[in-house]
Amino acid sequence: MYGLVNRAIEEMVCTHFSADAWEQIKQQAHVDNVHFLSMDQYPDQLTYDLVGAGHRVLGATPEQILEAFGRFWTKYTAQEGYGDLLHMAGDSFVDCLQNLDNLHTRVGLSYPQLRPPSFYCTDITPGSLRLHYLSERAGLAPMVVGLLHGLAEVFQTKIAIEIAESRADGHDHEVFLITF
Amino acid sequence: MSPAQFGLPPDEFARAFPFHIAFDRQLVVQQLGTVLQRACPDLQIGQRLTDSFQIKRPLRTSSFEAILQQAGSYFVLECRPSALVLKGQMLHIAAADTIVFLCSPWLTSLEQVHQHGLTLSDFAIHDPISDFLVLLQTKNTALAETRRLATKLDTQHQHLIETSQAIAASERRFRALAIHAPVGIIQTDTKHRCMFVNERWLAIAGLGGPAVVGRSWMRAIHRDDRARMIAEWRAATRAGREFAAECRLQRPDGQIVWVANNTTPIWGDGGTINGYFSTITDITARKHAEAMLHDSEQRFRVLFEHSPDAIMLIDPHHPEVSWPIVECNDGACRMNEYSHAELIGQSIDFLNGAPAKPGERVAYLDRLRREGTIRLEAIHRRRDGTQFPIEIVTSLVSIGGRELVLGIDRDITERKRGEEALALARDTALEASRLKSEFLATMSHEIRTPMNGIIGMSELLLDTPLDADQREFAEVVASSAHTLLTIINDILDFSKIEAGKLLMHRAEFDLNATIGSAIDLLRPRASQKQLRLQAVLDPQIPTQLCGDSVRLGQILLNLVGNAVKFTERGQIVVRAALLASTDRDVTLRFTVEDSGIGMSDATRRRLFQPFFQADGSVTRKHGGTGLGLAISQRLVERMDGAIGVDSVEGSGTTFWFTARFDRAGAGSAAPSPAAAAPAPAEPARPDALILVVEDHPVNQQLAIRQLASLGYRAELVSNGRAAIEAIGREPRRYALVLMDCQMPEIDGLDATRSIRELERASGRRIPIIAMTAHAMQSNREACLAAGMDDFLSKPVQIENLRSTIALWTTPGSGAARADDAGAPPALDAPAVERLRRLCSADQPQAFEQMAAQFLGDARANIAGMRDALGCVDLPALRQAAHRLNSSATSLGARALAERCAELERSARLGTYAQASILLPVIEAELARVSRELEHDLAPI
Repeated sequence: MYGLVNRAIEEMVCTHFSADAWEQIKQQAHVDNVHFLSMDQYPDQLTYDLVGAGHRVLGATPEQILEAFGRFWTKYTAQEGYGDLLHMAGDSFVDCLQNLDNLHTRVGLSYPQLRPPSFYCTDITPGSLRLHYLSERAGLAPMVVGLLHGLAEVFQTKIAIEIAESRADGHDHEVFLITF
Repeated sequence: MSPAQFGLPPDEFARAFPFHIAFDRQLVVQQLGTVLQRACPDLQIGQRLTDSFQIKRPLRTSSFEAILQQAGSYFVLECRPSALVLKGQMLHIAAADTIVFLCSPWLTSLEQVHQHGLTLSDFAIHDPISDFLVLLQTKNTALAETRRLATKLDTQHQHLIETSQAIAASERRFRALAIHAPVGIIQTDTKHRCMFVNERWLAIAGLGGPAVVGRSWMRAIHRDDRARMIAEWRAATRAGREFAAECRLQRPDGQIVWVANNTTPIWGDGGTINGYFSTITDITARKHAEAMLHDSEQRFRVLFEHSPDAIMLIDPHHPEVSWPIVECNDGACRMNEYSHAELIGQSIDFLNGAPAKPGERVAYLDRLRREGTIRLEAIHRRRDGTQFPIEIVTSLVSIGGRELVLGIDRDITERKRGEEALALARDTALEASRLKSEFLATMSHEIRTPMNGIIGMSELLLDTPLDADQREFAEVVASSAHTLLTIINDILDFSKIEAGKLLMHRAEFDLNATIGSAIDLLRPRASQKQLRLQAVLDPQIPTQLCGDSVRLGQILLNLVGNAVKFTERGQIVVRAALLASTDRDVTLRFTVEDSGIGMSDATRRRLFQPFFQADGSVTRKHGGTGLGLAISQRLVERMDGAIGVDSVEGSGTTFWFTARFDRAGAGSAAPSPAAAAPAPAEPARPDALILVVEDHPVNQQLAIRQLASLGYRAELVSNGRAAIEAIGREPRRYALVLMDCQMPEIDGLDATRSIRELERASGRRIPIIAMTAHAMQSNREACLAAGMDDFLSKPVQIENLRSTIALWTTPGSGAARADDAGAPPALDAPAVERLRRLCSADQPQAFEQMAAQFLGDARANIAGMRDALGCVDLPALRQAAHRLNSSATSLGARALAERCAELERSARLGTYAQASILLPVIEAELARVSRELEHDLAPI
């Protein structure tokens, strides 16, 4: 996982909770790093440990943390300069969802170690679509839910998300039914 | 295989190249990419390319041919209206003689994408510009992060610089502090090897820096303390705590220094100890003080614990218990038979046996604050209930700012017993003393009674016709009797001195006369031995002095008498020299030099011991009690002087003594007793009948015969009752009564009192002279108090009897005066006339002034006499009488002068009663003088 993710977690905890809470989380996760470099690669386990420690320190479930992180991620990446990329991805929420996969693919040029998830849309109607989410990493679906909500906020679109299919239910990937 | 020959449909070409431009040789635009057409709306097909675009690179390619020539170059064109810059390559389509510019926008930021109204979907999938834009954004993100980090680094660097400077400054300060600190500071590694040490540490340890740095400082510790220090150090290190201990350092010069050491581990990462930081303080002085304090405490503790007295500290301010004991020693436990635990916390009422009365403790505390210490006696009660007396000394002390009462109790049971025994012994001694005095008085009386017979009869016998042998025998009897009398008087004197009852009288006297009298008394005995006897007086000595001339004469008589006794030939010289002189007094040195037998050193050393005599043979030869010098020594001491002797055996002896006398007032010298007027040779009143009251037959006979030899008639009664009856019958029959004191039925004292009572009726007062063997001063006083007028002690020597009777029977004297009638004039007319003439020749008013002065002085003197009589101050009485005597003589008031002379004599002899009778007579006489003076002065 690139440092950008860990930094986003740090920023979220410090913004929504406190610097002390972040220090406690780091301490519980046995993370000594003072600073995460956005473009450096860190072990995935470190991120999972931070989420686990956050669950213990903040008293929220890992799913809640991940979803919150997904919402925060959209804002954070926009704040960090990637907001324009989102807009380049499309003029609307749906356009953006449709270009989401291209976006992740192109980002891979900048982050050579990136193992980005893949998204594609089906059943597009004027009020809904099915978003297919495919990832090497398991358990991050709640983060995708938060991320989609964050993206909708960027494009000022009210949405509802329903998990239509899930790997937990034996499917090979998650499918979200998004209505807007 | 040859390359595939294929073409693209226009739509696919437009999707693959959304920004392409195709133009002909005239640079007229033939075809446009759809996205470019939207981004550059001014560019239209059919227009010349250069109308809307400027070819920026390569330069000088504004024609079709020039573009062809540069077809291999990277072309940059800028759309003028929209400022959209395109980059790409020129591709000549020969078949159509057309150049196609395959391009995409020159974008350097995502903002430009927005500015030109583009999105990612406007770019062909294969166009790397999209990737470039993402890459650019990533670069920007990385750059922003780098800037943030750079800013952070700058900030941290600045902070680091400031921190480093602060640390450096702090280090300088701490180094300066460490170097100049008043405590010794040392930093060591884990092996105790010195890495840093300050001057103070080196000074305390007496070491130089090179001897310490890099070496273990443990070597400086005294060898007796080293093992202990290391063990304690290790224990502290293992426990990870600071180490504090006191130890001795052994300096190279041998001096030992006590230090207090505090060591802190210097912790490294991971809880390891990197070294130690130690301070030492020189506590040698404190240790010495502590040692001294400890010794002192030990001493006081020993004193406290081993004191047989009970020592207690009591809290007078305790809120609940009244004066509880807060500390006590073993003595308190032993004395009261309670344990320490039982006493502590108990009120002292516990020991006193009864609670204090309300307010008593408050008053006691106030008194303690005022007086500091209170000593009192009390009773304490032991555990078994027995009581015992104690002496308590309490004082206030302050311990730790707390006011406490320190009580020291002493069991005085033994002392009380001792005091009781002492009181008993004192009472016994007083009783013994009283018995001794009584014995002496009795002895004196019992010896004097027969002595009276012996001396009186031998004197009478010597006045009768005797042959030579008879006269010699009678003289031996008389001489022996006188010697015996001297011995008795010496013993009585010494007894009085030893009992502290000898009173020294103070009166003015003439030194010449006193010395002269003593010499004159002994001159006959000296002449018998053909010894020259002379007196030499220092002319600087004032002859008029004030002191006890009688006792001075007694000393001189003793010393000169001894000289005469122990000198067979040659001379005896009495000298008086002035030793010291002030305005108020003089100190004289008297010496009595003889050319006699001298004495050995051994004799001289014991000479002043009572009852000592040179040797047995001398005693046998010269007699005496051996008390004379002892008495003289005591008398000299009473005169603030000393006595001694210089002698060489066989070469004479010089006795000396010093004495201090006050200077006499001018013209106030009294005649010495030796210079008193001699008794008249004939009876003053030959017809006088004298009543002798005496029970002892021998003394009766003696008195009758003595009076007869003096020419007086006498009647005899043998007790007081008979005397009262005789006088009661005929009050005026007797001129005088000689009254014995100790008689059967009614003694002399009671008889005198009765006679004086009878005289109240008759108005006549008969002189009564005590004649008794009770020779003590107390006896004399008792006689005068009973109403007697004078006192003769037995044995009565005939000369004393003669003068005393004459004194009390001479007309105009004493009681006889009461019967006088037709008195002569108070003033002697010729004398007054002489005086008046003398005064008139010089000054007409002088006599009147002198007379007034006389009367004033006379009244003042009489007032002085009255005062002196009131307080029985006989010397003052005598001086006042003497002064009036002198001035009355000068004026010619003869009778007044005579009465004053009588009073003077009475005062000197101690006849207080006669003096009290004379004073009114003198007052009456002065009144007569005053009247006559007024009469004489009237005509003037």
